[in-house]
This record gives sequence, C-alpha cells and structure tokens, in this order.
Amino acid sequence: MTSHTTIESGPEMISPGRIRRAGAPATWPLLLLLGVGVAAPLVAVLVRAVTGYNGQPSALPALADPANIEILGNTLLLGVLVVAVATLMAAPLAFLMSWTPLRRHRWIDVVLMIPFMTPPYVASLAWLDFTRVNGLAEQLLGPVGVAMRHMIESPFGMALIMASEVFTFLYLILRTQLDAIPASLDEGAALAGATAWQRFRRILAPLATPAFALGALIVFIRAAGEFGTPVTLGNRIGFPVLVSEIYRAVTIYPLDFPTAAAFSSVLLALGVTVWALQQWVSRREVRFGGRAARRATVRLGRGWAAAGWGWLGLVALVSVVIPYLSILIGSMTILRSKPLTPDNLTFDFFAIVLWPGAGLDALATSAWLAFLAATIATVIGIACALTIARLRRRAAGRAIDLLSVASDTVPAIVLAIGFIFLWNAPWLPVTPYNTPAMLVIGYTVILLPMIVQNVKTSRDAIDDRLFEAATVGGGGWLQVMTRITLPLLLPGIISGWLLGFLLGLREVVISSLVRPAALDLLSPWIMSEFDQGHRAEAMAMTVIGVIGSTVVLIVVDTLRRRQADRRLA
Amino acid sequence: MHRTTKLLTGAAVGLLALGLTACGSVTPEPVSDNADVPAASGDLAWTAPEGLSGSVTVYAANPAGLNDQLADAFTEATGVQVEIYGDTTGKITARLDAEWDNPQADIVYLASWAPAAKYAADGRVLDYAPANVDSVITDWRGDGFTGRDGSALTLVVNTNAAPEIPADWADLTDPKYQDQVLMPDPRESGTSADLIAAMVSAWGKDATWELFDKLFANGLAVQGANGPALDDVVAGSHAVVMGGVDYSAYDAVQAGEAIQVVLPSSGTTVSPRPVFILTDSKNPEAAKAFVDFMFSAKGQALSAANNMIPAQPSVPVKTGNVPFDQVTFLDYSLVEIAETGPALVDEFASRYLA
Repeated sequence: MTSHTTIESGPEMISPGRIRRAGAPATWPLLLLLGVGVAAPLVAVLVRAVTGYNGQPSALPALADPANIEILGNTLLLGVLVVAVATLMAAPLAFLMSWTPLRRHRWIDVVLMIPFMTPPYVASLAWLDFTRVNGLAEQLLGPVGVAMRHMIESPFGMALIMASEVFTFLYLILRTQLDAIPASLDEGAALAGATAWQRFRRILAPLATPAFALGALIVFIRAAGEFGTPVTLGNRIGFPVLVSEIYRAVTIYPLDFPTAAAFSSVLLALGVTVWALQQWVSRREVRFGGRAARRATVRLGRGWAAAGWGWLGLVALVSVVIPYLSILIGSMTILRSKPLTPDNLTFDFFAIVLWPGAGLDALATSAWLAFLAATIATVIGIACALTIARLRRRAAGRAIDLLSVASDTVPAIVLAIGFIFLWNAPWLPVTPYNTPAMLVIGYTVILLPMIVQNVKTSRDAIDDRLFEAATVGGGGWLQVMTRITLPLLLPGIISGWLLGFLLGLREVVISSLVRPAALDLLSPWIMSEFDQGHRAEAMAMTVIGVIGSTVVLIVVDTLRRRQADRRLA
Repeated sequence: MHRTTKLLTGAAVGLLALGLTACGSVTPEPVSDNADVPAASGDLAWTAPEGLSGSVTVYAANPAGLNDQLADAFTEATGVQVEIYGDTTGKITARLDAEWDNPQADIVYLASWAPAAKYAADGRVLDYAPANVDSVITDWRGDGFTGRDGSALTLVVNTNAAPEIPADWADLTDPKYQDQVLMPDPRESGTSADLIAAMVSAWGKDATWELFDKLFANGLAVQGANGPALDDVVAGSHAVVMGGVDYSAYDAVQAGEAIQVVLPSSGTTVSPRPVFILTDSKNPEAAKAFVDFMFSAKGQALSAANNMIPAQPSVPVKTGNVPFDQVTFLDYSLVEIAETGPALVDEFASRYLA
C-alpha cells in the first residue's frame, strides 16, 4: 500500500498483488461540492465563536467554565449510552434476520423500520405521556407504571428513546454486512472443529467490526447532535447536554450565537475524534474472497429460537408498541381532561388533518422534497463511497470521508444558521435561499452521512479483485460500473436511499428554519399544531406520515426483492 | 410480499376493531373569519389605501389561525399578497438574527416584548406609529413597536383534578395543592420570566422568594414551555398551571375541557405581543398598511375572536373572557421587567432549579 503514493491515470500496470488503477475522476468535483455544501456553512457559523456576532463577544473563553465541562461529560455519557442500547437492540436482531431462518419473516423488517420513521420529539412526547403522573402506564400497571416513569425520566430513559430511533440504522448496516459474509468462511471453521464461540470470536466478530464501527460512529454523532429528546425530556430532568445548550442559546432571549458556535465547535471536535477512532478500528481491510458466495445459515434450537422471538418482542415493545399506543390514543382523544371511554375517542381528527389546506399539503411537499434530496444525496453518496474506497489512506480520500459525515456532528440548528449566513449573503448574485431548492440542498447535506455509510458498507464488502478481474478481462469503465459495481452496491444504495427519504420526510429543524415563508412542511406542521395545543391533530398527522412512509418502504422493498430474484434466476 | 399483505390485512382488521369501539365524534372548529366588528369601535375604521402592490413577508408567532385570518382579510382588501412564516418566537428570532446581513421579513409579530425592545434599540425597527395608536393601551406603545394584542398570565385549573379552585398565587402553598402545581420553566418561557420579574418589581425580592420557597416546599414542578404545561394539566397530571397564558386555556375551555381560568386576586401580568416593521422592508408602504390594518376594528376583532386581549380597549374580548380593564395588575413596567428579567431568571434557576 505505502508504495503507491501518487494517483496515476494512464495505462494499467500490474504490480505484485495489486493493480494500480486509474485515478478517481470524481475527487475534485466531490471536494468542491462537499466544501460548498458542508464545510462552508459550518465555517460560516463556527467562525462566530471567535469573532462574536451582533454585538456579542467571542464565547471561547467561557468553554473552560466547570459547568460546561459537566455538560460535555453529560454529552459523552449520553452518546455512549445510546450506542450501547442501540447495539443491544440491533446486533442480535441483525444476526437473527441474516443468518437464521427468522429471515423468512420479512414483515419483521417493516416493523423494525417504524421507529426510524417516528420523529424523535414525537417519540419523546409519546413516552412522557405514557408514563406521566396518572398516565396510561400508571392506570394500567400501577406501581410498575410509576417505576417506568422513574426509568424514563433519567439519562438511561433518554438513551432508550434515542436508541429506539437510531438502532434501525445500525441494524440495517449490520444485516447488510452479515448478508455479505459468505457461508464458506463459517462452514470452513466449523468443519475445522471450531466451537460456536470460537466462530463468533474469530470469524463473525472481526468480519462485522468495520461495519459496526461505521454504524456506531453515526449513532454516536447523531445522538450527540439530536435535539428532540434532550430538549423535551433532558431539560425536564435537568440533564443538559451540548445540543440542548446550543438550542437554548439560539432560540431563547437573549440570543447568543457565539456561545452556540463555541459549543458546536466542541461537538465538531468530538465528532472528528470519534471519526478518527472509527478509521483506526477499521484500518484493516476485510475481504471475503472473490468467489460466488452462498449465505450463511445457522439453525436455532427451540430454546434459542424462543429467545430470539422474545428479544424481538421486547425491542418492538419498547420502540413501536408503547410509543404508538400513546400516539394512537393521542390522535383519537376528543377531550384530554375526560376519561378514556369509547365516547371520548374518534377517528375524525384523521379527516380533519387531511382536509385540503390543512396538513395534506404539508405532507405532499415534504414527500417531494425528501424524494429529491434522497435521490441527489444517493448519487453523491455513491460517488463519495467509491472515491473513498479508491483513495484509501490518501489525504483527499480522508477529506471526503470526513466531510461526508461532518454534517451529522453538529446539531441541525447550527447547520441551518450556517445555511442562512452563507446563502442569504447579500453579495450572492443568485441564491436558492427562500426557495424550495434551499430545502433540497439542506436535506441533501444532512442525509448524506447516513447514505454514505450505507453505500460504504456495501463497497467495503466487495473484494477489489473483482474489479481487477473485470479490468483484466477488458471491461471498460462504464461496463465495470454498470455490470459489477452498481449491482454489488445495490443493497447499500437501496437501504441508504430509503433511510434518507424517511429521514428527510420527518426532518424538523432545517424544515423549520430555512423554509420559504408560506411553505408548509410535515414536521413543522406537526410541531406547530402541538405547540398550539392541538395534540390530537399533531398525533393524527404523525400516524398518517408513518403510514405513508410504510407504503414507500414496502414498495421499495418489493422492487428490491424482485430485482434480487431476477439476478439469481 | 405475501407476508406483507398479511401484515397489512392484520393492521386493517385492527383498525376496524378500533373503529367499532371509537364512537365519539368531533367537528372542525369553525373559521372565525367574519369576526363581528363591534359598533362602538367605529372610529377605528380602516380603508385600504389605493395603489398598493406586490407582497409583504410577515414573521409571525403562533397561533397560526389568527395570522392566516389577518393575512386573508388584508389580501382581500388590498390585493397585496401576505407571505407568512409562522413559528415559535424562539425560531423566529433565531432566523431574524441569522438574516441581519440581508433581512427577508417586512413585518415581525412576536409573542414576547423583550426581543422587540432589543431590536428597536439596535436600530433594526422602522420608527412607525400605526394609525389609531393613540387609543392603544398606553403601556403597549413602544418605540417603533406596538403591542397589538396580549394574554394574561393566569391560574389554569383542571376542575376534575384540583381539590378546590384557588383564587391567588399564595393559595397554592396550601398542602391541599401538594405536588399539584406546575409552572412553565422561565428559562424556556418568556411569559414565565416576565411573571417572576413583575412579582419582584411589585413585592421585592424577599417576599417573592419567600412565596417560591413555600411553593417549592409544597412540590411545585417547573418544566417546559407554555404549551406542554397546559397539556399536562389538561391531562390531569397536575391540577394547576401557575402563570399559564390565558388564550390557549380559553381555547381548551371552549373545546369542552374541564378547565377553569382564574385571574389571581393579588395581581398578575398581561404580556403584549408586539408588531413592528423592519428598517430594511422592501415594501414599506404595504407593510405600514398591514400594521395599520392590524390596529383597526376588524384586525383587533380577529384577535379577540382568537381569545386574545385586543390592544384597542374599545374592542370587546370574546364572550366569557376577562377583559383588560378587569385584570388586577402587579405593579411593574414592561421596560423594567425586560431589563431585570434575565438576571432574575438566573437567580431563580440557581435558587430552585440547580
């Protein structure tokens, strides 16, 4: 590896064990795109930490304040807790759904996607409502309900709610990786007499580690930058983290952008540190061999199968059943101060929010914008993943890698303010600001990290020797791309696009702050209804958004399976 | 696919079962677009100026219904398009501050007085006094910004959950109300911060902290902004919101919730919601016309119909609501509490919320 220090195009040369390939043509355009899209808005805000803004001085000296050290500690604790809980939820399920006969039950995938479609602030509100004093949990379960309240109103409860949102992502990335591990490796080890534990430790764990590290990276930085739960639940229990303090600085009088920028720099530094850690963990390339691969299957004994179903049930209970019980009841309750009797329940709120001019326009607009942004971000994401793989260990490759996840390291509200600073600058001759294009750009930037990590996982599972064989066999660039690269990347591309679309559909912060006046979008609409005391309307719209998302999910999944079947046939 | 179909069928059956049990119904709230214009306020008549065109952009704090009604009525009268960016005061001020290099709004309408005063002091606000400003409540006439409606801070009581109906702040220190009282967090709610500052202004710091010492000893909970606090009490987790904004509580009352709104006998605050035009407005003539319209009889009546207290005392409040002249006030001034508020909130937080 180290002998190739320059990128060369031109005639292909065969060097021992490795082919020197053509350079990555997308490198400079990508760096430019990410520079303008991601780095420039970040710089536009973060520089205010040093320069001050709007009459306020630099806030950097305040960072060393002991109170702020505690806030940093809280942020780290919460991030680690979320990664731990999300791993506990995702890893066993990924194994069950990839390597065991449970994978025939495709509906499980649909159920596990529902938490990801749920806006985190709604999930927090649902949990808080379920466990509140005299709430449903207390009425149904008595002291157990009270215990649940104490559990939810704690840092662990915050981590549980936040992990419920992001474990889906970790699950998909792990499952994709496990799907790609050929059965021959595990079976070979088994034939050689390895025990189950040895096979896990020597085969499965090392092969799954890079994918897990990628997933955990995103889970951690999303947990550090997500505002919904810290602002609703964290503020209530007095557990300040960086993102809730940034929110306070940006939205509560007197506004203080320099402090928000200073805290954001800390988050960015934290993100870069975790990213570097992930790079180090994944430094060893994992190759599966270029042979045609059959999927691994592990037969489960009756006890293990029961345990698997039990775990699935528990995860579904926490991430789907309880929140949606609360959301559904909320969307149907006529008078909240009256008991929950059939007379006090109705479906009318669904009709009310779907009335033209109400929430339906907002849903349609959000769906279109999310579709566009997810598609653009997927194209950019594929280019990023391929370029990163090609320029492994080179500065340009690392720069693209870091920039492609950088937008997740700072809270979306900071990015939104960066977009305003950058795109509303008076010297720009033309600007997308105050048009729907601004939202497409904004969504694209925040969807990119999740999409890139998905495509990268698929890319990392492909043995480079396949490309080498194709090139030696005389395949041109286009042929290799369409016949080898894209088909092999397809699982990652599809799950990346889907996650991006679902995330864009429910995105709240960019949607609130950079939308053109008079353009309604789904999440701002829901939050605004809730803010005005229209709880039932807000919850009804949430349910409709999730049903719409599920339809898209099923359509995409069906297309994917048809395509996969055709390839096998 | 087969299993997915099964799943969907299952879900449909489940929903159907729910449908059979849910037999209540609710009708959409009527749009009070044609709020009655009271005869007594005929001198607040407003006629649309000739020759206006283009559009104005309004950054307006919720409730969205009121903003839409104002915009529709103005567009109908003048032909000027009104683009509304509606959100919470916090998000609106964040966007305004980020846009100062190239302001996009013509008119700003907030739920909080202090930011408006700061923008005016910073020279961001066009020095404009709306037509009919002379009859507006005196304290609500700022320097280029004017309160166009307001809401009183009240005791919002869930009549099912409360042991009895309290009459004043101090009643809530009674053991009957132990763990039953909720106050919006002054670090998140501007009105709650105003209330604390007004109490200190009226009674002095010692007496105010003494009241809160007793309230916290009796289990006062402090959390969230106004909306969630009201929601919590409507749901019956607590019995009383201490210092809840009246208009959203009146909304709940009119929807049929078991809620009663009590004006504290020793006095409270009324938070005016200020409107102003930005210095950089690109369509100042239309913006001035819109602000004038907001203070006309018709514009004010729309606020009253949305349970706000109108800035023009001659426009009556909605039937059943407490009018401005029947509110007992704490002794404070808006200018004073805007200045003392932030430090008092810090002191309050370190005393009770640390």
